[in-house]
Amino acid sequence: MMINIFEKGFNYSQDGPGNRLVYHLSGCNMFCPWCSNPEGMEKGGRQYSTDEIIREIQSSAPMFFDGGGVTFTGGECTLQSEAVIEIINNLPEIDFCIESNAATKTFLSVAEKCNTVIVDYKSPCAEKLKKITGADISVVENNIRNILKTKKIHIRIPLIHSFNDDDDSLEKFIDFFNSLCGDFDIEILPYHEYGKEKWNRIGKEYSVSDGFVSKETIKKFIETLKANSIKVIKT
Amino acid sequence: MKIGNHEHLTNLAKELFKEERSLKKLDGWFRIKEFRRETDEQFADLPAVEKAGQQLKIIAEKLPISISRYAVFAGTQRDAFARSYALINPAFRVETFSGYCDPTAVYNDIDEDAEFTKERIEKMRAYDKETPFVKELSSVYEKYTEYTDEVAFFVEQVTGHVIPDFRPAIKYGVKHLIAEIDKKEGNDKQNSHRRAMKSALEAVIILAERYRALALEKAENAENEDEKCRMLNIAEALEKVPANGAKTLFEAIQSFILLWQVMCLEQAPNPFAFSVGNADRIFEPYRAMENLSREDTAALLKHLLVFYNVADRSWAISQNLIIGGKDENGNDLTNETSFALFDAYYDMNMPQPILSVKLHKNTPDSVYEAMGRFFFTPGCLTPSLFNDDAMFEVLAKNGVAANDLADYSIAGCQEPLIMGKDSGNTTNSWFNLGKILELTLTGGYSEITGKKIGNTDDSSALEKLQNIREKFYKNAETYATLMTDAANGCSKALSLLPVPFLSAVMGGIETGYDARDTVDQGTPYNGSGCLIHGTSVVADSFVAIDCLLKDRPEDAENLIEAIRNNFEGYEELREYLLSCPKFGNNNDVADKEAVEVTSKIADIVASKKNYLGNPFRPDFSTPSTHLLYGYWVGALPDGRKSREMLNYGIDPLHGDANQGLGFRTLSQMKLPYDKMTGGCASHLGIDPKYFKGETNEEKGLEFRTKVLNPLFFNPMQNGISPFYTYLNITTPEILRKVLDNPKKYAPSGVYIMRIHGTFVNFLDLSPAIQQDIITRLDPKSTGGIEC
Repeated sequence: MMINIFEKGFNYSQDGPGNRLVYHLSGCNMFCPWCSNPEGMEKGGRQYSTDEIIREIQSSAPMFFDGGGVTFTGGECTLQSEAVIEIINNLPEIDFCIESNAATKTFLSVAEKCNTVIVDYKSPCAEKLKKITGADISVVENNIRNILKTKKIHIRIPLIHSFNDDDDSLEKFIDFFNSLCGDFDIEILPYHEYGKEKWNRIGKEYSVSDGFVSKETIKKFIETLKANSIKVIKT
Repeated sequence: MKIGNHEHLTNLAKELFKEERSLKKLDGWFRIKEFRRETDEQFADLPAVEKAGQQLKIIAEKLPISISRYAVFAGTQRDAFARSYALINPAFRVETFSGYCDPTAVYNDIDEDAEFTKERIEKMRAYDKETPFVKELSSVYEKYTEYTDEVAFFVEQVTGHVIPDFRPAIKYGVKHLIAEIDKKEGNDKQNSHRRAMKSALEAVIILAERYRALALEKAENAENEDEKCRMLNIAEALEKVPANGAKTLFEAIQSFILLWQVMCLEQAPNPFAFSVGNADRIFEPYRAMENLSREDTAALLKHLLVFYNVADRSWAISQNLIIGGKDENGNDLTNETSFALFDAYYDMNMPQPILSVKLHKNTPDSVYEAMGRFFFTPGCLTPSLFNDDAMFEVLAKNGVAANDLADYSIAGCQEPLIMGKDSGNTTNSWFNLGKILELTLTGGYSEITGKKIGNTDDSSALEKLQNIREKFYKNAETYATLMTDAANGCSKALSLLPVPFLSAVMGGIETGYDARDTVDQGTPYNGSGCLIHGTSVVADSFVAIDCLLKDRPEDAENLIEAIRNNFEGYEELREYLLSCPKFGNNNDVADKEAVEVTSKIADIVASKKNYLGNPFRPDFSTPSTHLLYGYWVGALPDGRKSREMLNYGIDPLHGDANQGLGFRTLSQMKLPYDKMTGGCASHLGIDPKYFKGETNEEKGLEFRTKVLNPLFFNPMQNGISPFYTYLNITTPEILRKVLDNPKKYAPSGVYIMRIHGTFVNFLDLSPAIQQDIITRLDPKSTGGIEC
């Protein structure tokens, strides 16, 4: 079986625990205008056989220190669920993690096999989410509720001005998190423009003009979430 | 302290360094040459070794001496060095560099003036040319010039480059060592050599007495009470040391400085890379005796550090000082003096002496925290790092006694030697695998000059490619034999200049033989070094040849023509070769090849014997010679173009490893470190943004977690772990800014960077070496992922 990957390399603690070999899988079901990996939106990249990737993971084991392992991210890694599952099934001794937008039908089948699950919950407003990113909020929320039945998860909120940093969004975020059953924590990822240059490089226009959020807003989000007994962490 | 508080002493150290950096002229070495010439007849009847001892006493008696008004200690290295070291010489050009093989070239490094007239200089040069040493050395170079001109290999006589053990001299005094000599009885040769050692040791007592008298004189004429107090303090210390044992840290440092000075004078000019050894262990007992504070200890040590800087560009290079480490039972040996040394280094930030740190799996957090400020302050010196756990294994496997292991330290850049016991002749020979591969492919004709070098091979291009490994290793064996014969010739020539002072602090009192003797071994351990160049370039070339023969057999015949033409007209073929697997990306095929090349070449080198029958020690390091020797290597099958640099040390060629630090580390972990008995070199250029900690201390610990632990202390390592690395935590963009606007980014005029084992003022370097440092940061080989 083949798998499309547009970037790979090691990263420490930001994509799951310890030092991890991170595979960025090509292709995404969303089109977030602030995406820091726009080159991964289309299903391009380089094609590898899953056997090649399995061998690479095996030979990389000495680098999985401090509880590390392998992370699949994207693009949206669950769009290539069959290949990912095949790799995971072949390497029972390896610690796997996914970073997913949780907006695919195949999300659960992959997430259930992973030791660590990191999902984005970008907006609690169905309309805004659909309009800006193309995602269906019911799929995202159902996936989160379902995976929480068996796994602890880490939920990330990319905090973006004029998209999800208003008081109304904050209130709805809290409502959703309070409605969840299971073990999870939240991380706020303030807007950045590390990927802006890449948009230019691949010939696409970067359309976000005022995405930065103030320190006060970040603090307010963190403190309000905490005040509502929601666990907030920073990786 | 009675000579002032630590802040005052620090200010004096900084003034002293400033004064030293303003010195443009070095002529002491020339006077020493003249003293030797003038006394040649006087001592004509003595054996060479005894003559050397007597002449050292004359030098100690006659050499002009001075003490700066900023000085806290007496002593200088100035008179042992000339303004010679190429890489920090602005006139240096890769194109014209021909090594340091002409011992009379040093006479070009003194500026003529009214005192040192052209006539005086030329008279000395002419005399030197007729000395037995220069004649014999020249005959060695003449014999092997066919091979050394285009650097199939290079050889040199090794001066400096060892680690003396001054501890007994500091503790018991030089008089005690002399008394020890008097007690020894041996054969005629040993008696003669020990007499020479005695004279040489007397030289330091003579020098100390002269400095004492001068200090008293300066005290009388002092401009202020502070200066008077310091001069009297020097005089008081010199009444005791180095003749007798030191009782305070001040006395220990003063004793150490004068011992060092005489050791260097004995080998003037340019005994590069004499190294301190485990400095914290040398000085800690004296600090502890007084319970001196860390601040006061650091203040005194700052003056010791200034002593290692000679004149305007710190011309005495590669003097290594090492901190930390463990004992043979695994106990950590970091002490209060270790941290005082860190403080002294950080505050002074000078080009010399170069700092190394020994680490092991139980090194305390505080050491990593203390190192953070070095790594994460732009333009600050950084320590190079050694892995005690691995190094102990390598050395033990190669015959070092268990109770000597903790005493290994580093001479020069990265060469591990046993302090006070090991004459390693570390830079004796230099092996250029890139050139040997070129000559193998061309059948013995240089791609650079067309000259015939070595044996010819008339087989067809296809046959050469199909049998490339067999032919290459056969050639390597032939060249290694020639090289080691030549290197032994250099060592024999150098033995005409015995070193009784050094011998006395290198185990010679016990053995009764000079450290340079080529018949009887003067030091407990002895070997000769061979620096091996181009491992990954050769390995990648073999892999590329295999790929070509398999994928495009129709192009095989074209390959040799393509490299002869430096790929002009064969651009597409070159692109193909560049796309073949390369070492440094955790690619099995390329990595296995690199392991095999390293292993086989190490075996070939180690099978060769030096003048005493001891093995040559394979040292996979290329101290800027990857650049200098690459200039003499034509295009190669890995796609590297003619005259481009070779890979640095054991690293992948810049640009070839492009998957980031994790994959590169995995590749480097596979290499056979157990065979690198002479050392190895590896450099990591890492973007500071890779580290997220808020303080330098946090980043120091993060550096351990992210970079060092996986490399040095990886529980999944098969075999011996890597034992050496150095870093520059910066980016090419930052360095270009420094060069464009030094006043803004380096207002002091000093911006320290690491270049192979030593650190240097980046702004002092020649442009070619500055560019080399920028190129070799090689960010794609060490970056995290962009996403």
